[in-house]
Amino acid sequence: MDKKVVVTGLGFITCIGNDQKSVIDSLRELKSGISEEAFLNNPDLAVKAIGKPPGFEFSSGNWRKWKMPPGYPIDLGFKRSLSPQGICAVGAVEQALADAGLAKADLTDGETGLYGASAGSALLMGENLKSIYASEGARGNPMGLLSSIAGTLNFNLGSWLGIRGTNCGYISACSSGAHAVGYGWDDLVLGRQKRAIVIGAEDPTAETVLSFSAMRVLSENPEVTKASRPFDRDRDGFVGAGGATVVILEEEGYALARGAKIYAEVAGWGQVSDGFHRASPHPEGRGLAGAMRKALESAGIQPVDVDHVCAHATSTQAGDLAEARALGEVFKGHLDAISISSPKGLTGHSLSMAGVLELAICALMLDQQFSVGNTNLEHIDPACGHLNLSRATEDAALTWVLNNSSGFGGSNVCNVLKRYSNI
Amino acid sequence: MSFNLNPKSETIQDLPEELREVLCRFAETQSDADLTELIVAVLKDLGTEMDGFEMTDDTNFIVDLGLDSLAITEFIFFFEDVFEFRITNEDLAQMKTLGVLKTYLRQKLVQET
Repeated sequence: MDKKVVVTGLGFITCIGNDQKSVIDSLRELKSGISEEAFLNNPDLAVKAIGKPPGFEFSSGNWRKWKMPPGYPIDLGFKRSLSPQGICAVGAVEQALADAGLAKADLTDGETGLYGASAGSALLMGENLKSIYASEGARGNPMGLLSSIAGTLNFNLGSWLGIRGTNCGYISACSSGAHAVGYGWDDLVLGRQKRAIVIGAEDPTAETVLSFSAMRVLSENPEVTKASRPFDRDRDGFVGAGGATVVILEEEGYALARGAKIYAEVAGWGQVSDGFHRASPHPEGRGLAGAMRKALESAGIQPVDVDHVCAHATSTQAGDLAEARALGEVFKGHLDAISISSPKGLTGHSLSMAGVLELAICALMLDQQFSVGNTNLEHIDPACGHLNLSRATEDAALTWVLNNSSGFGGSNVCNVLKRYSNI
Repeated sequence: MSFNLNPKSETIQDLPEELREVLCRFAETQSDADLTELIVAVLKDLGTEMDGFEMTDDTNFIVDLGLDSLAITEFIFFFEDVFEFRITNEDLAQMKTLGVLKTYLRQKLVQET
């Protein structure tokens, strides 16, 4: 592969922190980002856990009532066409640009693309439809569509940033973020763009989270910081989370020419679908195993080369088990030497954002040479006993890291990262 | 003339206090000055730069205030939403200046209420 793709900027508006330092503290000290929530002001709901960025409150469908931390960088005119996830994404973009040493004016060169992972805003879609129903179709908020449909990140942030290159959204439920990273990587490797602003975002709201309760896949553990427990015997579902994460990818030569700090290299990716069920994963993790194999091939490495896998494991019975089996199949004979962890014990499952958030976490692990522990792993599920699942965050010599993501319909994506070396 | 305005409606209760006060004052006095003040308050609430700008009946929303077509639909939606009427696309296209908008709103409020 002629062109290398590197990570040069990170931005976080997440339940484990609204800046990189807080995120690193959470990962190193295993500080949970999960909090208790009375969804829709109903204390009788069994689901009580959410992962939402500190200082933000989006429990109303009216943007006038939203709360943000003091001094949060967003102007009134822009706010009205944004969803909660868009509000979070603006802050995460500002942070990532500052981290990468870039100004907004640098993004208008036609060489920069925007890759947004979003399922849209259930909250604002509902508000918009309520207004249309109430007036029997006569009236609706002119910002209703722009703020709510699945391309909301692209319309709003692409124009705000003056993006003149690629501007596209990725929708594959919980693998959307990993798809956005993957297709951004493709554009850079193929020479179509030189820089990719990858955004993963999700509304941290009842409207987004509770739809999963209807599917019976959310944890009902009342001890909310222990509710998300990937690979644990007693896991009872995932914890919904939202916010935004931004990763800036650049073609290596472009990044080096401007003296950018490089966190890690993104060295390839793969995707394979299960072709099995609209919601459940294939029980043997057939597609995910295939995605990992394709990703290894894309990066030109073998299973024995891998040091760490950032698992998708969301804390559901079926998903964690399928992934454990896929990992067992792909890394047979090498499992003792590969540390595996799911950060979702700390962050919950941020759905469309997850693939970007976890890619950013992998970049931090490679940059600072540590592996995140498995939070709330008290009793390893015997069916996952073949995996090397550390409970603690540890210093680690990492060169190759895989990042797994799986979504509805058996959509499986694996991104490969490598410790950066300019040799 | 009485307006179809319910100050206790959620739409009106959710408005910033200053804007709600101006709206209720216009509903009570129905004066030209209060209608102008209401329109200015709505423009400011939508983030329009108005510092030091003197509005006259000839002020053009696009040329003088820099509103684009989407901003105008949003601006007009405010009146649709609080007074619960529908402004047609044809009428919307005519509402380029403060004076035209005020005349239109007065006629519409009489017709609808």
